[in-house]
Amino acid sequence: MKKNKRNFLSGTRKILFALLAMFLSLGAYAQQLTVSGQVVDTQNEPVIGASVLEKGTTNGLITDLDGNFTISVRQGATLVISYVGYQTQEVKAASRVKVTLKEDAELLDEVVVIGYGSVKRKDVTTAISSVSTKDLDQRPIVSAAQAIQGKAAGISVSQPSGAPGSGLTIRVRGTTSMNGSNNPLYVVDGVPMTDINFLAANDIESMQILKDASSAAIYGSRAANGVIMITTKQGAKGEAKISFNAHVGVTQVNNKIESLNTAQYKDLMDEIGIVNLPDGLTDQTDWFDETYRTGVTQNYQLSVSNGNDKFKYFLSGGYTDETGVIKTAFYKRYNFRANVENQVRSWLNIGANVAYSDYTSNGIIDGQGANRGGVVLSVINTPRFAPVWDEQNPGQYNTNFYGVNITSPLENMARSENNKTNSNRLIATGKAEITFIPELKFKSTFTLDREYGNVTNFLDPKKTSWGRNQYGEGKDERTLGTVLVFDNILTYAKSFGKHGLDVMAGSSWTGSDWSKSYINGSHYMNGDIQTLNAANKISWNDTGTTAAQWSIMSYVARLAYNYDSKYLLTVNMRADGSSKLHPEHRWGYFPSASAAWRISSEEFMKDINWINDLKLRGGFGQTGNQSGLGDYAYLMRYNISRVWWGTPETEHALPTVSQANLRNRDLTWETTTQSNIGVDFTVLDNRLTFYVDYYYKKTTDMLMYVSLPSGQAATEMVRNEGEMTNKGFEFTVSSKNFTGPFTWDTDFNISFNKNKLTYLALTPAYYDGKTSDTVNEMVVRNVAGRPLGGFYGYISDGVNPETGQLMYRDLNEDGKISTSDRTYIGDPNPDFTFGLTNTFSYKGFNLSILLQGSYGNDIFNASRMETEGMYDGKNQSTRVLNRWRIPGQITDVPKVDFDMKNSTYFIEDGSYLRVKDISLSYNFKGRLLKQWGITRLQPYFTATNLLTWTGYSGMDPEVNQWGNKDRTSVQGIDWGTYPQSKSFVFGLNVEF
Amino acid sequence: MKLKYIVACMLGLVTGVTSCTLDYDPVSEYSDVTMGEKEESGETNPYKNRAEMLTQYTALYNRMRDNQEHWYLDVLLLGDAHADNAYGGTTGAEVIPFETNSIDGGNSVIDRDWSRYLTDIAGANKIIFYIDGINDPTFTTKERAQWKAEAKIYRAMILFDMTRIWGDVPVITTIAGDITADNIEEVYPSYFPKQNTQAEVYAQIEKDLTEALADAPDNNPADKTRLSKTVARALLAKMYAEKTLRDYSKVVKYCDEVLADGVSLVNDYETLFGMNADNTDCKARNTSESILEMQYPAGNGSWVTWMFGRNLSNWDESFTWAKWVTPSRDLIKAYETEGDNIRYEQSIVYYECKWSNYYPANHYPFMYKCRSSHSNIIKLRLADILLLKAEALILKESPDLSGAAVIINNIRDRVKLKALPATATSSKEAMVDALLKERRLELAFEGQRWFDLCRLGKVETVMNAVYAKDSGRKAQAYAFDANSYRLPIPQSAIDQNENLVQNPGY
Repeated sequence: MKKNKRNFLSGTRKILFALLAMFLSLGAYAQQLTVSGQVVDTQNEPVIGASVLEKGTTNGLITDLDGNFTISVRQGATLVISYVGYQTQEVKAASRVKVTLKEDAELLDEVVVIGYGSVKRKDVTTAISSVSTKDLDQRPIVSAAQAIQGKAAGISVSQPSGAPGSGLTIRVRGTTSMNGSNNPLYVVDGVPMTDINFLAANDIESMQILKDASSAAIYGSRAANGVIMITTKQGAKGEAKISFNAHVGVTQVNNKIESLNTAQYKDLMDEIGIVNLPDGLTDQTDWFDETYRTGVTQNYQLSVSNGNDKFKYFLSGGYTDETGVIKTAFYKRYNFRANVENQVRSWLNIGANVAYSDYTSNGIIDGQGANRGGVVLSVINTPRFAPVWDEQNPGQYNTNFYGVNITSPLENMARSENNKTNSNRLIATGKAEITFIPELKFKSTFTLDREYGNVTNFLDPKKTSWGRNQYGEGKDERTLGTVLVFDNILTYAKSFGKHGLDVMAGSSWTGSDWSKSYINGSHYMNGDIQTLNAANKISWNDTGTTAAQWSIMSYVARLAYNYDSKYLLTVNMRADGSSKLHPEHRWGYFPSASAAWRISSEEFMKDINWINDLKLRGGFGQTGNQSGLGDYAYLMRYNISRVWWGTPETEHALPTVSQANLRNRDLTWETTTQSNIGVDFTVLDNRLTFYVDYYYKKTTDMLMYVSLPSGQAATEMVRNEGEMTNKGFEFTVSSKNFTGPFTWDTDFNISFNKNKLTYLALTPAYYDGKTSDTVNEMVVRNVAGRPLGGFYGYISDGVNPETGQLMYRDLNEDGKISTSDRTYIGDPNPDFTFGLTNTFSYKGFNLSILLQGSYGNDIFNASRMETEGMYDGKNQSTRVLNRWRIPGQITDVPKVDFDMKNSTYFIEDGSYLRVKDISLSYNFKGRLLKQWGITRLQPYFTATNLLTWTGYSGMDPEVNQWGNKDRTSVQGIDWGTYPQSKSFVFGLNVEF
Repeated sequence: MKLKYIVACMLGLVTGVTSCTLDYDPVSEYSDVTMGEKEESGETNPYKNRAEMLTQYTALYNRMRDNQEHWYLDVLLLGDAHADNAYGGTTGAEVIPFETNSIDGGNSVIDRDWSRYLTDIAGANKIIFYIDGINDPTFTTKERAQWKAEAKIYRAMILFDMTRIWGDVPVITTIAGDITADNIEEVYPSYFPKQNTQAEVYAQIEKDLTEALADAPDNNPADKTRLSKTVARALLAKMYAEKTLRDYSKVVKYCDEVLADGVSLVNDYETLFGMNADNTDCKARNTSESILEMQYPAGNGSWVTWMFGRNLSNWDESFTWAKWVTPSRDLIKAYETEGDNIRYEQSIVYYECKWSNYYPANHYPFMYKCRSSHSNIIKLRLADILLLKAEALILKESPDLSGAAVIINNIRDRVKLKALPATATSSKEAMVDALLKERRLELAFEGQRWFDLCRLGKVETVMNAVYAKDSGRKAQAYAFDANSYRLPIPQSAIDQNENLVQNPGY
């Protein structure tokens, strides 16, 4: 209707209007002018829903489907035209205007969310990475962390295992703590939290990472590992928008390691001589095909948003379902979110964010040998002659491997097939902002973050040998955690001429209340009823309830001053008190300061036109960490052990307690002191941007679970024990290679980090990383003076052609190969990691390619101990066909039953370059869509992990068996780890 | 005006209102908030009354009973598989070096034993150190003295095992105070102790045991699980027989005192290890021969049978993988040559299994002295002490060979073997050989053989010869020599505590 009307508004009429307007303006200043116009983008495509506002008033509207608008304004008024993702423009009102909005190419005006506030990119004084969320809806991303991988300098994101829903390991500028948590703090819509599994990637509006101390310090005590600030979407003023995003895809395992066929296996067994196989066995089962399948990923997200001058809302709901390439593994999530905001009075803004999410997952037994039910290794270790099922005992997996102590991958999968880990998370935030005077605001936020977790396990009493051994097992574990956060922040911002002042002060209280109940039982009649009422025996020493509490009280203050956006200074102070620390050392004070000099704003730079922005930044600050601590870490605590009460004499036995740890009267904050210098440089009409940062981080009073020698009251003590440094260099380039109808953007980032454990006070060495039961020796050894997680073992000098033994170097030359011949044999820390994104677009087509990689890191491939060790009856990989057999034979694979140790034989270069994502989308435009009211129709196709270049021989170089385990410094160990998969996804974005 | 109030209110919120408590006491854990009491001196006693100390006393016995790994399994691996009685049994890297004589400081068995023994000692020290300071009138002096004596016997027994394995080990007899920034220099030597010489270790054992003799409970024929006077005497006898002491008059003295406590050999050897008729429980507990044993009644059984063979009370339990401590051909031959069928049958059993590491799967021998999850673990029994007396009689300054022969023949008679022939009893050397063989056949798979060879200085002669004559034994990696008498200190313990010194040869 509207549209037809406007078509009449042609030539002559317009002139008439203009004349009339001119005439009227002579008469009275306040005469009204009707402006009609169109808003388009640089490719001359109409911008729909752009906001057109008469400056200084609330008079405004939204462009229609053709980008057109008509508005009545005062004579001489200025129109402000804005749209998300585009630079805001101001034009003088005239009867006919055409506005070409430029994409917000210059990052300079981008608003960066910092702790308890926000700032324009050009006024940033610290090291903050923004992660582009523009293409998030064109990639099959399930968790927010995936969006960061390869996209931001200084942030290493790796997927430690390929299991669906398995978390990613995120390290901001290296590892800062040995036993404390190294995970960054997430702040979602202002609420700090440690787990963002509940969050759908589609709900994310923006994401920023505070990397250096001076930016993160405002979150003081919890910010030592960096802070990831996430803002979720909010309704925008304009027409109601409904968007729907769906993707469906398939996943497949990346790689295959071949196992020996039956004839080759028998040959090997005859040579080892432990297992006597009968003649006439033939290949029956391909365990790889039985175990791996094509997984399916589905994700559907629907959102509705709208708003006016006073009220805005955003509602979204979604469903995600991933099934793994290994059958029993899955991840399923339902998510719902409501963000509302209302300007109740001119001085009062009330808002609420409510997110609810229900997610369930199951995994497999991994990180274990085939003798302990490890699925991944048993695929290779299970001989191919064996059938899946036991013919004599229907319903039982075959266990006849002629005495080899393994179970087949299918039996191992069945061990966990009825297990489920479910979480229900509700995060509800209410906030109120009071504007006293435009400069002075007060914001109060109260959040309830409640998580209910339920783990249920059931093991059938018949199917598996372990199940038969235990007569079936059941477990039900429930946890309820409530974290309350109460923030009160006062801000004052004012400009006096060229002086800009921004002051913030506030307090934050976080309190946690957590409880758990657990029941374990066994002896089930059959597998039909799995709940614990059907278990005859309830475990007398593994059933109970526990609870714990903690809280943190904080005071924060910030002063930011800038002179003409030329000289900028930010000073932060935070004081934190934690209940986990000793009362006398509970409070930590974390100051920071940063400054920037915008050289490009200086007079002498005025004539250098090709430089758009040049800024020098420097910062220094301290952050604290206590996140790895137990809730009552400073106290001397006792373990409670139940005493058997089943005989007449013991009927009234009481539990015994035993001291669990030594108390620590000195326990206080771990402190990370960080200095940062950086340069921001934008040139050539904002087409080329560089960010360079150098940092030096030193962690002191490092919190550690000290393990003391046995023999005293206890061996464990949490202590401020060590020191560690990380220093590094980060480099980001963004380039707009082509603009115009064909655009080509390149974003590249590369990060170098050097980590070193510099001091340990008491115990000089810590071991970790035990893998194969056969070798039964830890491969990771941490001592002062070395990077964290170094591999320690023997140097292997190849296969002795005469004996076939793997030769080890006798380093201390005592004629014996013994533990004293061990040395450092590998370093899992990469020299550098990098990411490269190229985006091409032309006429609605958009192609984005993300390359990502790591260089110079070693992997300890412990899986090979099981697949090439040839020490018992396990089937092996085809590599052992090259094994040494006769004296004089030159080969790099030793003889059967060689002396196997943790050695360089199993160390491999883990460098890789991979095509992480290729994503192609097309944006449909056309009259028909407009008639149907569809503003966006964008199908896309994405391939993930399509290609990987690496010299690594295992399943995948992106591997880290214990990457998500707490209190460990172990990295880069491949130990029967759930492999990565590649995926092909088709998706669709629709907006009404 | 109004605005002023609001601003004041908000400032109050920002600064004050939310300063909630940071003090929480543990909800579901005992801690120093609930346990112990502060004394006037400022020192704390972590146990404030008898009930709290009782938990430590109970825990001491439970640790002995439930830590089968180092108390039993590893003792057999060392005592039998590192000697000529058995093979390692599996392919594990922690086990094979015991068979091939290539144990090094990285061995995980040695590692676990070291730390667990030291943890045991700390458990005993908590009783010895704190029990007298407990302010509880209901806790009688007599009872305190008795518990303390038991803890001392326990500590001595562990020190004895440790020094037999490693030689010089740290002797820890006190509980050090808290580690704080101020006192770290002072307490460091307690937490990171140096080794004491073996002579100092023996002195401590002697002191603990002789002190304990005053207050320890008497031998209770109905309960052999207690650390009684008889246990102390048996341990003293064993200690004085050791290579560097060899105080044989004391050996004889304490052996006689053990006998005088009312311990006697059972008539039927099977009583010690057998099962009841329907294999649901062991044949007997608290036998007259037993001096110290751990018991595993129904409902609270032991898992350790898995490691050696079948569990007769749960036939199929975990019988899918190769077992530890597989009887050697050399031992089997020794039984056969001797015609010692009773002890052969009680020590070794043949099952059909699915592996063939050392023997054909259809006729595979297993150690048989731990047959079910309800079998006792006998830590000390009279036959051992009697043979020790015989050893003392043979080796003392004026040997009493015939007296020794009487004892040995008494032991042989029980299993229907003839008395020793004249060739054996004629010379001291022959008697030593006869004694060693008798101990081997009587005490096989009780973790004794290796220590017998060490005590009598026979490691090189016996062990270097066995690889050639036992066809099933894996090849010898290194020859046994004078350094072989002590095992390596775990490398991780040395890495953790720079005050420790590795034994020579490792």
